[in-house]
Amino acid sequence: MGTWTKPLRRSLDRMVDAELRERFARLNVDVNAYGYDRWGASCDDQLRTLALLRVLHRRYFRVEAHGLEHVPDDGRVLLVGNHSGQLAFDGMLVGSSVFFDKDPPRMVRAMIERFFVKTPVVGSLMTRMGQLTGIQQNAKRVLEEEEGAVLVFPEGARGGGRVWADRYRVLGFSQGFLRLAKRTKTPVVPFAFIGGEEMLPSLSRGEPLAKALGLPYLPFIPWLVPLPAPVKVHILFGAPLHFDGTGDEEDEVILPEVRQVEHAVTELIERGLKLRKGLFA
Amino acid sequence: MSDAERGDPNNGDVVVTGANGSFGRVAVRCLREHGYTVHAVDLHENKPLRSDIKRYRLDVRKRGFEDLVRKVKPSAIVHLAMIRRFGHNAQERHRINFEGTAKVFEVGRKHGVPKMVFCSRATVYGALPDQPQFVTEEHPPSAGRTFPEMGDLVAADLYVSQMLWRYPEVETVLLRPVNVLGPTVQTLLNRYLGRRRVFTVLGYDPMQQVIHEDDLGDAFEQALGVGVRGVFNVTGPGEVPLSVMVEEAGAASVPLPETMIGLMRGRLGFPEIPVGAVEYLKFPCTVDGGRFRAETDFEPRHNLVQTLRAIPRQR
Repeated sequence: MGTWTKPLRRSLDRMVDAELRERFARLNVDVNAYGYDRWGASCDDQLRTLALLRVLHRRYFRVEAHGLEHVPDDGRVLLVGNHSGQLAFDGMLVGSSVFFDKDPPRMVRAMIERFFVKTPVVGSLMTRMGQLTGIQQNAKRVLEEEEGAVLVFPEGARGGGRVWADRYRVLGFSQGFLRLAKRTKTPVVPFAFIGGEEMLPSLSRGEPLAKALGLPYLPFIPWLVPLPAPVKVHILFGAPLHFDGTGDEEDEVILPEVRQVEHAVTELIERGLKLRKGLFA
Repeated sequence: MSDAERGDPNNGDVVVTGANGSFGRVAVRCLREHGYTVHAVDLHENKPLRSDIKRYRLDVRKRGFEDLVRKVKPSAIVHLAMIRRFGHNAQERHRINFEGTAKVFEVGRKHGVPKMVFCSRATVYGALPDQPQFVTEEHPPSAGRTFPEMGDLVAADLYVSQMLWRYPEVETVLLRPVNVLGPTVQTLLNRYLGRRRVFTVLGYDPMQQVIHEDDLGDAFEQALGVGVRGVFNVTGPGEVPLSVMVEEAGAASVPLPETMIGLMRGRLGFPEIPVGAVEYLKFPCTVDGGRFRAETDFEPRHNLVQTLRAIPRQR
């Protein structure tokens, strides 16, 4: 990023402490002489982002993770869950949970909606943070060649831009992730993200205007600014699901299996909603 | 060292077209070093090459070239006679890049040349936000979507790749190297990075892959290996963001909003680049070079730092 971000980078650098460095070192990221991995992630930028995320994770959203033992310590895995919250706080917090709350920590690469990849600044930032353009070949490479953890929100923009009336309802998963799991023989770990619906509730997707502006959705947030409310976040991970096959099966074979994952996520959402005592507690 | 002393079983007569171009000079130098008898063909007067290189001033589309191939009976033709400059007359570019390529392959086939090597570019895939980060050889060359000036290069690339199934008896090798950097090559990127001041697109910093010109020379040599045929991406030691590349070239980067780049091209000391090339400053055009490394002994000798610093630095 340019020189104008230098003061920001410097103050974030001050937030990077020994704990963070020690955890990050355990990820064993493969970087070149300039500190970048092959996807474009930079160690320095990841540490800065994690420093910021730690504040959000521990103080602002007070994230509580349940069932982290279901996320394997190593080897390929697909994390699949419900999408919410207009901005990608859910993805970031699932990533930070697997990094800060899990032992050993793991790096999660999320599949990012192509619209964001095209957006100036946002696309570059996502790349520097190690996120992937939402294209199956990218995820396949991370799973097969790096035995990595990939985060997918199969509801896509439908889930990300969901309105208040649809809160905590699985809006239908697309099949891509399941075919990918079969092709790469990867276990699917379902998860539920609780709190995302209230941090940035939207009353409308603003569809006609969003379409005219070329946006996937244009949320209408009651307090107008896209600043999330400090709701308490619960993330629940479920037992890994295994699917056999080639990934090239007919829709009739794939769809019931997709429903099975949807069902697992729905169950976790229900458990999570019962678990919380209030929005902020 | 003489050819016999090297004991290289592959060496023989090789015709290099476009030998005077920057890739051509790299190929001629490298193949000579590997013990090949190089016949250097170029449309223009050959600048001084090593004295042991046979030089011909020929147009590959004319009879003289066919006569040469008939007489020499080369074991391979390395076809590099392409106009890469985008400012050049579009019709002339098409005649040389597309029709010239078709002619060279026709001559080669007619006279039983067993190996034909063509050097395309990884940029034929295009810099598009919706393609995989590491494009494989199966991916369609889609540069034309945003960079129509690349049309003749894409057409030549596709023409050569169909030779693989049309004439399976000929070992056709289509190389798609990533950005070539080096002290002698003249590419759009080298000219861009050679400026004291360059614009980048505000808010974008795409990953870029680079390869040193000498490593490209090695790739040509590997392509001549017996049994090597197919389409190959050729990658160097790795990838870095454009900003790192500009910094290592010693240029000052000025991020401009995309709308302003059109106005600033070729003005105020900024590089002159075609509009379509701006996409390459926004999105990555990075490829998977695994196949070439698996099927040949190719391994770049220059590391990332050496490659990025191979461009003459700005003072």
